[in-house]
Amino acid sequence: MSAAPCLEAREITVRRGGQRILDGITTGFSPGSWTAIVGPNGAGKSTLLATLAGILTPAEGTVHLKDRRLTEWSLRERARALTWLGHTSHADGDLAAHEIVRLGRLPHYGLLGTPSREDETAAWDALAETEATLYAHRRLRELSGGERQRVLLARAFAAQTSLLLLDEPTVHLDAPHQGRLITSLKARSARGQCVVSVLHDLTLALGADRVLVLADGVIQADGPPTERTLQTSLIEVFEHSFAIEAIGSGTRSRLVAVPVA
Amino acid sequence: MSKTFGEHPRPSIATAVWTPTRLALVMSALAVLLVLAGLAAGSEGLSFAWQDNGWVIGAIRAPRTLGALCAGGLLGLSGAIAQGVFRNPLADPYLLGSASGATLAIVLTLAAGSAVGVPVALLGGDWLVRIGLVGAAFVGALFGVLLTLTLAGSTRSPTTLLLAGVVVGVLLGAISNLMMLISPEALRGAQMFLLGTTGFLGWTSLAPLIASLVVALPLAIRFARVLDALVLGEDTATTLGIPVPAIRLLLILLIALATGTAVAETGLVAFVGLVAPHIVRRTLIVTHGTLLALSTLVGGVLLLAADVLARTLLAPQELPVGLLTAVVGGAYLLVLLRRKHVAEYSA
Repeated sequence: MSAAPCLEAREITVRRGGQRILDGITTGFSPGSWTAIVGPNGAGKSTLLATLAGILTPAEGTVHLKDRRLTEWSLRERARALTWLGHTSHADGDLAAHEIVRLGRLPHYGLLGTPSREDETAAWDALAETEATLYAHRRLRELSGGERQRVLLARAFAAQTSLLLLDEPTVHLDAPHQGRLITSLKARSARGQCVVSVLHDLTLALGADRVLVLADGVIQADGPPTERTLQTSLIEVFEHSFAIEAIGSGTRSRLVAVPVA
Repeated sequence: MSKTFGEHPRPSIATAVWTPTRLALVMSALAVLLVLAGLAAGSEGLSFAWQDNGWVIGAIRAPRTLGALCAGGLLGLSGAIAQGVFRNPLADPYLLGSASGATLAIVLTLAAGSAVGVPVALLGGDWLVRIGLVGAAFVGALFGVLLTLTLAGSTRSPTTLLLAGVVVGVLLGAISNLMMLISPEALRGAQMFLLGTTGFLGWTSLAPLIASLVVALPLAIRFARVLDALVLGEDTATTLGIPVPAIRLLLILLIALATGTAVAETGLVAFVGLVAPHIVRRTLIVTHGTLLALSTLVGGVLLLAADVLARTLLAPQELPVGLLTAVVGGAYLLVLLRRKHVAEYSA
């Protein structure tokens, strides 16, 4: 991590119903990097992401966005700096898909303002990026799960914030669109965005710049996916249900998670 | 991945028959026709001999017709706001205890009036009485809503809020019924009133109805984008920079204002607030700003149409308009549910 972190968790603990969901997590995320958060069910991945986004307030510890505590930012300032995409299950309604994407620009033009040409362009560019232009005029409710997810991703991309927090962005996507999303995330981090995503697909996660392994609310390992100790910890956390293998060679080589039957 | 950044074909919606402007024009035309019918509808059916009926038209039919339009508009508006705030297409302006609160306040006012020997007239009456009734209804609606909010506690879940609203509705409704049992003479008129009727609308009713519409409609439209954002869920709306709890409270107060005024003037008219936004959403794909404006218009047209029908169907007899909207609205909802059911299983 060369650049200074733009988003930092300092000793954060989150409790729910007397249980510690996150237990003293300290970590930071830098611009121009793509981090994948992985871990078994109930590890606290979504909670961590929601806490980083300021939706949940930690019982202990603080979250710092750039030079200030997250709580010192106004809601609108915060919205201009970071985008959070949560679980999609309850996004339902009669709004047209392109109106949903336009909402991503809301922090820029304001609740009572009018979208500018720039906002319009950003919205339609985002729709093109997730290949959702064709059904942009249909109701969100009438779209399939994958189509809906691409609209919600476009909403997150349209915001063009320097921080992008995505909770399981590949959910419902078919293989080609999963691949294109990953390409998109890589391109975004290469352009200087800070991308943090919770991922369930380990092979996709192994393509990230950095993998953060979470289990029982504690960081078990943290580092580039090529690191031997990280891979060992990852396999252990997932109860040796898969093996990590390198395929291809040279610059085209990549890591895959192969299930152990 | 995308080949033509910045120059994508934007699919047009040229196939759509309805546009917001067209729906607004058609509904406005309908409103004008219905106003004319409302002025002509008397105990002998429709009569266009304006000169002979000059006094009746000026003193009775005109305020009743315009009042029905406004009250329906208020119901349509608060229904559209409620459905957006609670993210539930079956939400209704009478939820959250606003209507039962308003009803109780009116029943209490009437009972108190007769107890001190000053019977409060529902029909006509002087300005002071009218304003007193509207004020009481608004305070009652507000009381009902606040009671619901308190019962729901700090939970942010719309479902809990709706449940609390149901509980408050049943409780306040029971108290109203008790009051009617205790002092039946004073409340003979109230029974008719609670069924929902446009028969008590006079010139003095118009001022509060219009005032409430003038306050609630622009304010609601101004914050309509919050309802758009709430489609994505409360958390996402917050990360979009929206102070959700504060604006939601404002919108709930607007529901109380609109419902309270409508209930004070026309009693409990069923289904208009529920059906009006449905008609708009079925016809058009719109954002909430347009939805609120059009629901107001459609609500007004619906109640006025029901009023004209109530006056002419069995002339010289008159039906309570609330019965009519309940039957027609109920039938519409049944058809809607059946179709939805079929569509879900054939998809």
